[in-house]
Amino acid sequence: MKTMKAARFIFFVTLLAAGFVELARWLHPATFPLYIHWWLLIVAFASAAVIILSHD
Amino acid sequence: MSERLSAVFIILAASLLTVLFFGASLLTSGERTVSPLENIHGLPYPAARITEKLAHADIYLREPVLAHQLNLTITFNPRALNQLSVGIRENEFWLSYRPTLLFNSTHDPLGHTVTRSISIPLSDKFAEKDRSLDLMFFADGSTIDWELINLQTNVTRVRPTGPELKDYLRSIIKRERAL
Repeated sequence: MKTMKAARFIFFVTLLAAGFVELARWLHPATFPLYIHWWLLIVAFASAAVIILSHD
Repeated sequence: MSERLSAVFIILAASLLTVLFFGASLLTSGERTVSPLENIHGLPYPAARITEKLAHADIYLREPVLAHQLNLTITFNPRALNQLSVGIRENEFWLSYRPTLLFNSTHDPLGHTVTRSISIPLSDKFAEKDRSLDLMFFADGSTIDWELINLQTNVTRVRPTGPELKDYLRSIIKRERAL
């Protein structure tokens, strides 16, 4: 249960942060390099996998 | 209530994460790579011998321009020209440069190797999508012939001034893009 809660938290935080990064890049492309966006999405997908696997 | 609280907590954590990523990129400094000099049509000069009024190069930054300064050490041989200046592109207009004078033939002799070091604050400068800066050499004279021997670029941290910070924020709000 604790793992699932943590994974859910990480999933939402990284997904939202990826959104913020993309918004910043839309406003000013040089603000963030593209790889930060992809790293955040990779972490979000990894935590989504943990949520699915730990689901009863 | 607790669900609303956790949603607020998630938004705060995501904002903090984004700010942390941006803040970390503000702390970087060091030497940066430069592309070979080319003319305004994108054709590289053979053996860095420049015979036109304008010579352009890209400087590949790894950080945003905010709170950074570019230190240039330029070694060149002015064979035939009156003046040589250098500048960094300031906004979306392709020729928006504020040149800094490097060489003036009335004060310095022609045909000798010259080394100049200048510092340019970057916070109000224009960065491309790939974070590169446009560097332009401006030569003046009836005949132009000079050779770039060495160009060293070093990025250091610096506190931006009020107008520079305003210009950086304006470029974000205006969604400044290369024309």
